Amino acid sequence: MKYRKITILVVCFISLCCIFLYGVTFYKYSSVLPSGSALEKPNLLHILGTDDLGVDIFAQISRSFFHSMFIGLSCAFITFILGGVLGISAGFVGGKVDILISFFINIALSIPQLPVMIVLGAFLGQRTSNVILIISAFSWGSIAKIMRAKTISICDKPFIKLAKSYGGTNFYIIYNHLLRQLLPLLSVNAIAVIGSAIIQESSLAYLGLSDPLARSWGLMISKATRFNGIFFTEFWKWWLMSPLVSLVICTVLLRLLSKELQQILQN
Amino acid sequence: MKNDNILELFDVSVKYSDFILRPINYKMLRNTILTVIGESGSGKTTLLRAISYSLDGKGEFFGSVNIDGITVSSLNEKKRKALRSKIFSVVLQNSTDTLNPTMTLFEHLSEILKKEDKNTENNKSRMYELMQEVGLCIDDLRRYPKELSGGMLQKFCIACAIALRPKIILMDEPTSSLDVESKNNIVNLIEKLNSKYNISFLIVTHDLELAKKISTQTIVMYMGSIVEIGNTADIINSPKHPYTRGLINSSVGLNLAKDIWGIPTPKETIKNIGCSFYDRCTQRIDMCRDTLPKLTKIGDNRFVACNRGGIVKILECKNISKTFDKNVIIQNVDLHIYSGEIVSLVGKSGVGKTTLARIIGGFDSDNKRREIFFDNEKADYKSLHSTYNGIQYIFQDSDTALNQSFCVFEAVGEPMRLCKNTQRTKDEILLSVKQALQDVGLSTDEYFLNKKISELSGGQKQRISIARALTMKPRLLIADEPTSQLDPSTTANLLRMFKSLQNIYGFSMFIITHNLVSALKISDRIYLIKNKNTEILDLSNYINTDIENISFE
Repeated sequence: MKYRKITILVVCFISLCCIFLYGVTFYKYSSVLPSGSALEKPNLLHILGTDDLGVDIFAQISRSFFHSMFIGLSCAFITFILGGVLGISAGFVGGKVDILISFFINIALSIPQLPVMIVLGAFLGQRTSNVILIISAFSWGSIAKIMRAKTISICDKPFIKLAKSYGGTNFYIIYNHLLRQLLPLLSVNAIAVIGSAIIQESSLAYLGLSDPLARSWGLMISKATRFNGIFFTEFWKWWLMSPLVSLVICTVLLRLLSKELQQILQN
Repeated sequence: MKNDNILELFDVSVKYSDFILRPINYKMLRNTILTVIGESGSGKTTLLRAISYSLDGKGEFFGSVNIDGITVSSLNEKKRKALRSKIFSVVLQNSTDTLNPTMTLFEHLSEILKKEDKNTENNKSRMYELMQEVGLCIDDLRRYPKELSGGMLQKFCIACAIALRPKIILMDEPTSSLDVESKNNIVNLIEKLNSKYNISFLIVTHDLELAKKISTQTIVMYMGSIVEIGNTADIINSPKHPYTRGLINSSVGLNLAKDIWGIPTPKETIKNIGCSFYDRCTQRIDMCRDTLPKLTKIGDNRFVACNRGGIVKILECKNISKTFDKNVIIQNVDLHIYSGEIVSLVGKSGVGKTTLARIIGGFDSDNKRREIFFDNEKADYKSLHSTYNGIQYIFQDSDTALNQSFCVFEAVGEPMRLCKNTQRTKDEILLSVKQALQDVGLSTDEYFLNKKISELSGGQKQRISIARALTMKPRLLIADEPTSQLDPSTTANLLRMFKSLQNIYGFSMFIITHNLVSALKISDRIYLIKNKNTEILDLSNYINTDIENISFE
């Protein structure tokens, strides 16, 4: 079957969502309040154990998933719009507009991401909206660059010249010819942004630059690693590994999904 | 004072209940050979019969005919009879029918010769002379007509016609039923008689090859009127009336390399009071429907009856030059394309074929201010591309010329959807799309219309490109290497399709190709691009055939 791989991936992702959805709805333990004794091993009550404060880890991970997904999707949406509009404008209009936009794209791409992110994070304050803005600011560049290149290559093709010669307006050409070819590519890249945004958010959280009140995988990892001598105990097995594995599974799934989508849309 | 003209026609017209020979005025010089060409039913034979006053009973004759200064038409039949054979004689198409089967050739000839001289002995020697003149044996005089072959009979009829040394001989289809060898003999005979005895000939024929070979002057007739008059060589080489060109394109003998295509017959005849060629003409305008074209002089000894002044020059370019980074690609190229003509541009790869085509097609600009004229007006490509009856361009690579994510209907209907000056409803577009797809030999069912372009084969895509261009009913279609990516069979189909579409719709085509042989098959003219300029390729320099000399024995 043509779409077998992607079906499996989508099913996996949906199952993941369902599991975490259970964690934030019917699961009886809170993700912020202690619900057992500290550092409980995974057991029938706390399926992934508890942390040093006795807060259920599965509940935390579930909450973090939606937090991360929210950040990821928001970033993807912003980069989708920003990268798409700027990239297509640069490629389609050309000339001075192209020079100007390309200039900004290159700036966005050449700035070392993490240090600037840290500085910005510290400067702007630890709010989720700030995190989204910071991550988006560093994600749109590459998408805009891809979109610009693709737009230029499409605009160079005879069918665009012909459509123009038939009297097609710019709007017509962008809407009917460009977007049809660019949207798939743009969507795929935006989906890829979700994954990278989650990792970046975790990095910021790990460094303590994310919203300390919100639950986040990065924050959990950071807390766990800061626990003195965690590697001399067996606590890391559930406290550290659970958020880490969730993070890996989630980003890998998203990455595979975007790759698979890209392949399907290209054919 | 001796008249320079052997034959003068003043308003000669003939009226039948279902056919009219429109008034003809013509003066034929002495010692010339004039051919009258045209399709069957164009009035050639009627004209010949009118001149010789041998119309059948139903036809009414008007006007007057002067032969050798004598107004034949005003004489009574008795006087006219006396002039026959002496001043003019007629050789009709079916020569066997004009001979009496119960009389020997001797009797036939002596009957004619007696008109002038009653002396049998003189006549006898004259008879021998005549028989030798036309290439028959003296012994044949004893024979009856049925004992002779078609070619021999034709010769004998000529012998009868020249017996009394007339000034002019009128011949109807002298070679139509003869084989190649007999035909050549007749041609040689006519030429000999013309040069040796200064006999003028008026030859009615539909055989253009014969006309080309034998005559100095040609009249082209269509539906009872003259459409073109001129020197034969000029007419054959550069016909000015679309009908004449159609005749030439239909002639096997004149198109040895090229495919032959007859003039298409209209599906329905449009009743009009204007030009008689209106319903078959591919460059007609509204005016032609109700204005009868007059025979007008367009050059030295050249007349054409066309409301548009003959075949229109659809595109003319002057001094086209193009440089890329100081590299001169083409320089001062002049080029023109007539309406309804297929012109090819051949040349090596990289000599600027596509560049030139794109400049002409309006997808590239040349160095200087453009000097390109479309239908005698400065080409405004913006409107020519986006309106009906303009210029359409078919790009070489149909993969990139079509948006792969479009479906067939969207792709083919795109120009119509975007066309500004004539808005069409969706149903009308659908109808036109289906017609165009049918024209290029593709399916028109719902499934195919909704198929994605990316799912089609190379040949199909190429056809889609062509169909899309056809929906705009272009007057000039430019195709860049239309067959370069296709296999031989698809190429053959596509080329024939191009030509048949061109034949039906009458648009002009400019084809860019590196394949000279396929260009030969369909092109009316070929430009060769070489040394930064174009030259017209004269194929007669390269193609030598000796078909006429093949012996059948």
